Amino acid sequence: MTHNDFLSADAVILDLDAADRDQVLGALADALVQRDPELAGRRDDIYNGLVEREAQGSTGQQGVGIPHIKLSGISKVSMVVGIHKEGLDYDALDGEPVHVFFSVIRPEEGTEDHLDVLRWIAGIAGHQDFVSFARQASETGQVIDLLTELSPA
Amino acid sequence: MSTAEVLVCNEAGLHARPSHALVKLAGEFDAKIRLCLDGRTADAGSILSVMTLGAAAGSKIRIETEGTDAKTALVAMVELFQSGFDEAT
Repeated sequence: MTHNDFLSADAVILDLDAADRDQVLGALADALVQRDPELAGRRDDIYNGLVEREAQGSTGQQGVGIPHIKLSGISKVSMVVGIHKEGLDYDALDGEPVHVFFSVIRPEEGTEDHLDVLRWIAGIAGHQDFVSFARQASETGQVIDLLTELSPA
Repeated sequence: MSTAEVLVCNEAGLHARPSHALVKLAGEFDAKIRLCLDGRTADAGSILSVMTLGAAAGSKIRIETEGTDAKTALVAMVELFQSGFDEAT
């Protein structure tokens, strides 16, 4: 599996319509279910899992949040990216608003694929201009281009 | 540079709550704090970096600290690991 599997227009939510953390997680869950047939009918499982995960300790820092969970009965890692242009209070570790959310769903058993995905995200999110560029995007294609360009070689 | 080795002794490994506690603690020091496991290195000040380490229960992690308060930071980090992040083990 490579990150290219994730880089299609339906993996990007350009303008998250959400006023708080739970609404963001709901929008991400909706997008995940729409995108991956394997997640059909699992919207509430995903949403509840993400809420519980973030309640244990926010994954937000430096403008980026990575709500990620394990889910039973699936075979592969799934991911969507959502952008919140104004920024959201996400109880981030640095207290700063979060603008870009990568939501990663992975199988309960075995595979370490999700670590590759998290490392790919870390490589992108570590770029100092990533968040400001992502906020400026006006179409999904620009986000895909940005993610592709910043992907570690 | 100061270094120490610790075992991840809580059952679920370095998951949500421990990672959060660890990054918070790391943020209290000026020292650069790194976690090393299986040839990979994570910045203890970054939640995303710590999550990429994939440290399961029983992992042996080397902590490296560098900077003015490196020694104090190292002691605090070791204590956090040894406490099992105050979770049931």
